[in-house]
Amino acid sequence: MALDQQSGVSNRRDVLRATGAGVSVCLTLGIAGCLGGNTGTSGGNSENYPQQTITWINPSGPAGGFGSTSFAIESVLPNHLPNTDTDIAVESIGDWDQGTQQIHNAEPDGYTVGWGNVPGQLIPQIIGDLNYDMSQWSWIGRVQQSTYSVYVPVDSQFESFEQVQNADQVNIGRFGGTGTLVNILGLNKMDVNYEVVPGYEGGDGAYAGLLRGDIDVLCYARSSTLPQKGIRDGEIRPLATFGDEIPSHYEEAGYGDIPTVADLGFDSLANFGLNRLVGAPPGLDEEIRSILEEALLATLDDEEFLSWAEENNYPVHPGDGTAAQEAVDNGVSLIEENSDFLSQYYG
Amino acid sequence: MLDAILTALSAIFSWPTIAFVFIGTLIGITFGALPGLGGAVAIALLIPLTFGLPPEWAFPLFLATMGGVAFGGSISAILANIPGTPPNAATLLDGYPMTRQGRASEALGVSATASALGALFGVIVLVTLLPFAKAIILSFGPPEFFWMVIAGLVLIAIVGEGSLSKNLIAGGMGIGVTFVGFSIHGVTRYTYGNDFLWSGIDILPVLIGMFAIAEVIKLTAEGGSIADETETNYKRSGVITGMFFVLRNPRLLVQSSMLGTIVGMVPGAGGTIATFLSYGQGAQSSEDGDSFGSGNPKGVLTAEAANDAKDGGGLLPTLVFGIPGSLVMAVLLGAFQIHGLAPGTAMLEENLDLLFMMVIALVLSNLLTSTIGVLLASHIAKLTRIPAKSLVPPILVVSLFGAFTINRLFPEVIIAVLFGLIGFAMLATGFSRVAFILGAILGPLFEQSLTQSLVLSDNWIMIFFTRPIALMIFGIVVLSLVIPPLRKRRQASTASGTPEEGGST
Repeated sequence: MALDQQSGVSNRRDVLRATGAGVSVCLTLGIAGCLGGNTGTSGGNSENYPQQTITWINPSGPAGGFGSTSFAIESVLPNHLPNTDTDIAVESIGDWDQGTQQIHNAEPDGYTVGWGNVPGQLIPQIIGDLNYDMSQWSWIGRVQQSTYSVYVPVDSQFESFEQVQNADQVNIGRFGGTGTLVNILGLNKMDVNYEVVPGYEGGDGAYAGLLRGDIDVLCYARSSTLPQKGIRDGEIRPLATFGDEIPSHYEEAGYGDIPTVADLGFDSLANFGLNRLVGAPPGLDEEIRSILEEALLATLDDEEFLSWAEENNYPVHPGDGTAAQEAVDNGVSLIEENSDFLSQYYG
Repeated sequence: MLDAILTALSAIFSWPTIAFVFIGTLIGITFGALPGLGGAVAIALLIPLTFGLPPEWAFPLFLATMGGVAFGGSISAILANIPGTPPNAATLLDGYPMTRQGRASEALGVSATASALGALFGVIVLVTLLPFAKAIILSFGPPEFFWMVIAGLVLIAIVGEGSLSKNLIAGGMGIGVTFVGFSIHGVTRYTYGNDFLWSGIDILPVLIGMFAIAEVIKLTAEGGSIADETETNYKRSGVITGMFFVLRNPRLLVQSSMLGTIVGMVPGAGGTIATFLSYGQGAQSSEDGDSFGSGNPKGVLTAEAANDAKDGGGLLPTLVFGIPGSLVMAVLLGAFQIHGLAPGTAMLEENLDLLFMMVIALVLSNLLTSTIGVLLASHIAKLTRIPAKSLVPPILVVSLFGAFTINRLFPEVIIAVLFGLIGFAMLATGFSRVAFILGAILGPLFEQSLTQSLVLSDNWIMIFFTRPIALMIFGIVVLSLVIPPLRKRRQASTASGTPEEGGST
């Protein structure tokens, strides 16, 4: 598409005018962006808290476990705050690193909280070169401690976990977060020889790979919708579980006799899985943190939330800020102890 | 099944369900037309608003929104060369030239009709293939994805504006942009210690910059208005011409809809591949394929039919497996969970009437959208008469606002402006922006599918040539490269100085 060259001077003026207008708009937006957002004082003011909308940052996408739980909490939490007219605004980022960094960087005034994906999201801060530090966060509580299980396609050649351990090599998937950590570190500690197939978009991408046959074995949170549906529909079956008990839906499906990792001799891996924690930026006023902690625990005990959780087979493991901090500290120890091994995969 | 369909029909046309379908359609059109928004954002924003609603109201609302987005995106693509959503980038290839030729009403008429019929086709295929869905979906793996990406890039390089070599370079540059950020091996690339670049460069600000801002600069430089005043047809007859054009090309409509549906079924493929593959195939299979990109309404037909058919296809893996076929479907899955619904056999056995309500809502919204489009097309087309000096500021504001609202990160506004300048430079030097954008959209899938294929095969390259579907797509790529030069040679040898007869349409 050729440019009109007949009125060069006036065109240049017009282009300059347009460019100037664009730069003005950009500057205006930039200034607005810098001035906008929470304007609370550092640390927060607990008197009459909360007075404005609380932003709940969900670093994950709006779908999935974190996203759907965010929305379930959003509708119940205000009922348990001192000011019940408070709005909770869920902001789904769709990128764990960016979202976690946003929580870390936010003003510690009580008006920004968000999910902590532990231990998965500790890896980029310890082994990678990202700038946040979750061990410094003001932890509010724990919503769930998600246990993983080892799954294979229903027509897989592997009938037991011992066969997986004895195989020359199996393919496992890399799909981000705690899920990948459980697959890579957990299976390694259970003496499984594997090749990592990278590039799956989230757990559902890896699940598709499992059904297609790209992946032989997949460790997945057993409370998630996908593996529950997979067992119900006869697509996958569990070979072992990281939990210390067998869930009822496994027994109903005829898989009640699968071993736990403790049965297999790996006690240290018991309950190795995802902690869904709620935290706030470092430096939050302790009184505000306590208010949020109480409200969260009350929410997790609320009939409306529990009803949603039951309908969705979503186990709830309420924990306070101390429990959350402990989970983070344990996660940090785990990753630091295995940093040499993990550096191969998270360099 | 018949009982479920009848129950669903009765429920959809009852109050207030039908109102939710109408509201969803309007929301979808609006979010589709505004660059940077789109169906995923619309549904994500609607989810918390539907907490107190029963699924019978909430899901028709979601599906109607989805139905409105595709056509909404085509409005800005056709009138202003700004794709409302990434898949609409194929629509502007011929839609905008038609607008420049004063045929905006006709283009909107083609888009509205192809959208409605494509959506209907996609839904019919969805219902028909439900029993076979699993086998189809699982037969597409990394090698198949790889060739789909190559096919998309090659087809656009061939049919897009500019020379083949420049288009291939542009596509390669687009792929290069996707190397910024985390690789699939967990290593950061080209971030230079900048937090913002960890997750790479988001495609939406690039899209807004390359098309919206570049067009603003071009409009400012050229002056006048978008459409050539002397040839403008704003009468309803233009819209009707467009409508009947679609009905006179049933083969192309079915071909494009089928392609869109099949690609939509494949998780991870995305709507953009569907529209570009359909566009490319349409150009290859049409006798007047050389005129694609110059205002051939077939170009709009192929893109829009596929764009709407893909939604029907995308519902298959979402409902059957719980594996989303696209970002919009991923958000929809989240809505399922929040409303206590489980995809899979449970959906098909216990909620079949709700499933059909969703399908009917999708079809209804597309029909509504197209009706609205047809009724308003001649009026909407008048926007192209507005002088550039008056049009540029609102387009600029909406574009920059759109870039900011994606993730509320100011650097994305800078990205949009930067790529606006790059897009303008590409316009001036004859490099295809569409090929660039396609490369940028498909780059991650290209790297992912190539790496996965090689890992799965222990670096045995024949994995790309020994699977039936992969081999078939590879064949399409080869034919795409071979047929155009053969056709040109045949035309040159038979022309013997005799001019071409008839118009391009």
